[in-house]
Amino acid sequence: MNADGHREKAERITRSAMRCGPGDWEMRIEAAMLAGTHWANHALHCAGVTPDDEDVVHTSMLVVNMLRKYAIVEGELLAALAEIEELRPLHVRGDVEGGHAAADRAMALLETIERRARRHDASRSGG
Amino acid sequence: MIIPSHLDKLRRLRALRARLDPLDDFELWYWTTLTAGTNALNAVLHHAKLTTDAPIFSTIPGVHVVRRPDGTFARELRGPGDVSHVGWPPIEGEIPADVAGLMDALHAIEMHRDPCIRGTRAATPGIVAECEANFARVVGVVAGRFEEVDA
Repeated sequence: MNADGHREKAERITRSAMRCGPGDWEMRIEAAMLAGTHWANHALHCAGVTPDDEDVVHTSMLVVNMLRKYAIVEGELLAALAEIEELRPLHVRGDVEGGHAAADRAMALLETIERRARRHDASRSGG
Repeated sequence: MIIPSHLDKLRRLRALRARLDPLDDFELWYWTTLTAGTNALNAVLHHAKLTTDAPIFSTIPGVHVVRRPDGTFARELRGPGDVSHVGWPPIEGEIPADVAGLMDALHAIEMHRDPCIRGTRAATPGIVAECEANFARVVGVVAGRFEEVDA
């Protein structure tokens, strides 16, 4: 998928997440993971680190050396995405207390990810 | 994870599905369907004694997040617990017909994941209808095993 496609997917998922309520912490975390991953791919494609046919699916599934390579360019973004991934076993696939707060944290991390990814749009448009 | 927690997630995720628009919110509607279906699968696998309902949480096959005595969590190597997807990890033992039917229905839903969520295939009313029909099959199996779940 190309960079623009990833941005459109991320925006759609983020918009849908706004329809979740406080009791929907699993899907707020999953939305942050899904949209954040699309933003990561958007940023990596724009930076020329990955081609359109090389997409990250989960940071937790990456070969270490590939994660190191991507982190050279987008370390902060990928660290935020990895923190979202760490919430999933506990609060999406698990029933640990604190789901609301975890979802709030995931959405805050998504804002960080989106902000960093959008810098590439500004660069591309000369802004 | 314990069965009551799977059923609680299934109940809340079904309620969220109803609030999302299947086409306008396709990505999250689909992911909610998938997550609800996976909780349904794990509930019936535990009920059929094919997997354990220990309070540990799946990551990749064989690796679970476990609460330690000091209250912190850590990854540990464990045997079969919750599955993350149909066949991941595979289930050993004789699978009852209703559970096999649920797995078939959930697998059919999963087939849309990569093309539509990670790829560029656009959602269509036909895809939505297929997912709805298969999700109804999933819920029907759970309702057959747990009286507190409505079909």
